[in-house]
Amino acid sequence: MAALSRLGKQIEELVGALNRLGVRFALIGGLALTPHKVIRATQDIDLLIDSISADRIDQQLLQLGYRCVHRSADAGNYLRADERVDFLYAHRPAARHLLASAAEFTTPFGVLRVVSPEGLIGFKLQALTNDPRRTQDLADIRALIRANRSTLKMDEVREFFRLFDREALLEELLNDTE
Amino acid sequence: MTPSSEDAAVLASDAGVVTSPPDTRDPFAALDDLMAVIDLLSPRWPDRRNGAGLGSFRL
Repeated sequence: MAALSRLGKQIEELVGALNRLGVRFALIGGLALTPHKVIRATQDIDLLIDSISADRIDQQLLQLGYRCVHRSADAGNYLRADERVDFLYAHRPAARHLLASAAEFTTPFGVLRVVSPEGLIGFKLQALTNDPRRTQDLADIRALIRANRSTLKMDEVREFFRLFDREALLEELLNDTE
Repeated sequence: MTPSSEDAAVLASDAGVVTSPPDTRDPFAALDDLMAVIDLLSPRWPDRRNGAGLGSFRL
């Protein structure tokens, strides 16, 4: 097999470490678009984990040479030189359900799970709502809808937009992507 | 100046058709190939925003 890219090596190392720890994790963010028909360049690794695993994962990341630059009940950010890993901690029913239902893939980086396209839209909508300057998240939502229009569970997608009071945005996106 | 219909025709002239290559490859391998090419281009990535873990979390 050809040598992995720099990001690929970082994912391989991280996925190997988390699988050895035996914790459940799932890709979210730009990397998670990949099996859902949207492939784009990205610099960051974003993972959803159960909040009960946060301390064990923190220890593992420190051993790998990362340092924690932010940690709250909902999210953690780790840096190692110019490499970054971001975590969302699932502790509410919706996020725990998305983590439990993430599909497994065997990839060049190892065996990993990826959140559903509906769940990804939900997380990206949450990020966009928290920081409207994150235009990449809006572009990703649009791309996911366009690429998966015929298979998306629209009831689930509508529920996420309702949760964030953004139903009008969904209608706009659906009109855009017809 | 109002563009003539001839100008508009030039601007809107044939831009090709939208097609996608057949998706027979492992998408993660395709992503890694893309990132390998980007490595070779020595990218200067945009600054990361701070506070990615801040805000209201409802999920």
